[in-house]
Amino acid sequence: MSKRHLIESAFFDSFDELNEMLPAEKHLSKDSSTIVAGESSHLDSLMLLNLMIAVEEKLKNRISLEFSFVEFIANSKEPEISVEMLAEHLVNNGDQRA
Amino acid sequence: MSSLPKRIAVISDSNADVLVNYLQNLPSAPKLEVKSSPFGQAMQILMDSEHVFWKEKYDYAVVLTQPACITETLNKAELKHEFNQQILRREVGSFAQSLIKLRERVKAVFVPNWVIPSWKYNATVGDFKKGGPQYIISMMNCFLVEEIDPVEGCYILSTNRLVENSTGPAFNPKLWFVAKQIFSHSTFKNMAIEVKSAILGIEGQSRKLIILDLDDTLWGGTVGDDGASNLRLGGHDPVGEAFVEFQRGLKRLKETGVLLAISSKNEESIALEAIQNHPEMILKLNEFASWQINWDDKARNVEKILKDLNLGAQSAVFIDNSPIERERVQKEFPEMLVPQWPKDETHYPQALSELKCFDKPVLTAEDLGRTAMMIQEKERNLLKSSVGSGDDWLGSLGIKCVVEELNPSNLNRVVQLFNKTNQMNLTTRRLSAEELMAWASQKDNKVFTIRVADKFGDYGLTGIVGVSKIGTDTLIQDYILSCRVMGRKVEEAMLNIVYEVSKEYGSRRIIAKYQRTDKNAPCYRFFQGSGFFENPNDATFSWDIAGQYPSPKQIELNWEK
Repeated sequence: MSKRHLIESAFFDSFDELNEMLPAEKHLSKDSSTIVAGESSHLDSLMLLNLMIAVEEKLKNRISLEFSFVEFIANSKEPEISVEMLAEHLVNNGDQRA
Repeated sequence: MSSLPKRIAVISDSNADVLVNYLQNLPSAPKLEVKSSPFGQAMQILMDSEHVFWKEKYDYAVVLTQPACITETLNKAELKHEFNQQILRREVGSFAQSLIKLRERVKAVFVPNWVIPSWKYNATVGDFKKGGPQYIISMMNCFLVEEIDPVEGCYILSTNRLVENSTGPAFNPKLWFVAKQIFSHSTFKNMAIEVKSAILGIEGQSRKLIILDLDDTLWGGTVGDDGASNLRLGGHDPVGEAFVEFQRGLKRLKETGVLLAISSKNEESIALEAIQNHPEMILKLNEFASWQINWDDKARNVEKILKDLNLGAQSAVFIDNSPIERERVQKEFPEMLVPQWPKDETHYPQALSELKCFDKPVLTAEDLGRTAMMIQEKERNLLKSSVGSGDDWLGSLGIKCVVEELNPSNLNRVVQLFNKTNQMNLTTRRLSAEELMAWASQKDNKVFTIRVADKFGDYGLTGIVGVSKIGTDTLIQDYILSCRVMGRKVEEAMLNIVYEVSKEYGSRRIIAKYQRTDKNAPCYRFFQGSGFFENPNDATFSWDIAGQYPSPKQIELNWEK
């Protein structure tokens, strides 16, 4: 499995966990285009934090990748951030801490 | 249980929004409406009964606090190495009193015990020394248990277990520093499952029956092929030990009133012989309330077991190592709980302990003796098939009913019956213990309980009538009978009780207003055949007191004053 797939699967597994606490209409779709941060995201800031921490923990355990999504998103200038964008960033920037 | 969502207050001194979300959105029953305390106001809300938070009514409450909000002892011990046990006891005692007071507002209060987040202190061998953080936390939890354990309706949730069973780390310092959230979402999910399960138990909706397969489920191996002596059960074998532990878990559940049954594709004589004679079997044959051991379709056998025990699929759990059989039974009985079962047998005991559907915070005598009662019922049915008419059969049972007014000793069982009886239930009024006591203590209201026994054994407290004197009428507010004794003429005996009370009231008429639900048609049919006059326009039944309503001759009715 490629690194991109591993990163995306960490997101999608975390989506499964998060969806159990979200009402059905706000469920996150297991699609790389799903927006996790920004105006069209279904997540409020607390849910986003919980998602990012769940993904961080999975990446650390599964591929020993340490990355702070929380800081990355806080510092991002993009109006909306998708799974694809985050995976792309990680693939291109390797294990660098944000 | 009423289909209306239960209202639950989450009072927390940290961010518990994730718990709130799980309580609201996990698909499992019961449906909950949740309100959480505003940030930073948990203690004010607990201490101030006039707080605006209490303008709304709640059925249940969860109180989640951190040790530092209850006592300064932990900080003092850490920074100044000061520790005073008396002060600690007083501070925990004061917090416990606020929980006991809160209990008066709601049916039950759930309090996760205190733990220290793993990132907070360097774990050292001194943690459990006197004055060490773990020592203090353990002491606080013990003080809390001592204070609230005697109070019915105050329950401590084992945070340690919730933490242990988390799928990822239970704590993350980032969650705390960014959002003041003490646990990870996984731990909060476990907490929500535990709270929901406890509420189901309190509402009388916990599961009552486990239907088990035998081969590779209750023991390792195939008894028909391998023979009883070669089964993996006990001995110096990790898998065999796991099956023994699994059976121990089932036995513990059985002792809390959960019925066990067998549905197995096997030769019945071979399987029964193994159950009776295998030296390592923990479960004995008389601990199974019913079994279907044959080569028929499992779903049909499950159906026979449910019929035999007079239970619905929503009361049952089906455990089978075969995914094909699980799928078959689940498809046939969507309301039945059919858990995914681990392939690794050593995980069976854990899988059983993770089934959060048997929680019963209060155990009644009826719960404890349920299996014995079911076996007695089978003996009754055997007699029925050997005796001529229904009346002769009832007469041969020697049925005795004891009537007693509602009192603290029968309250728990009465509330349980009130909240779970559907079929023989005139109005399906659901009440908590407090609501029922309050209603019964009003002038002109009375609640009578009926205990039923026959020559085979004791059915326990199975009937309730609640009556009100309204002018010259006696209104039957509640007419509730467990399906265990339906059709034994206890129904008529209960109307005789109402008749006798009505005479004491000086009433002229007895009125029963039937409130239709999806499940109480049997009650309507009984009243139609009861001799009461029916006003078909509003499903109201009446009886003129001038005429006696006799007690059935097959029943001996005794009043306990």
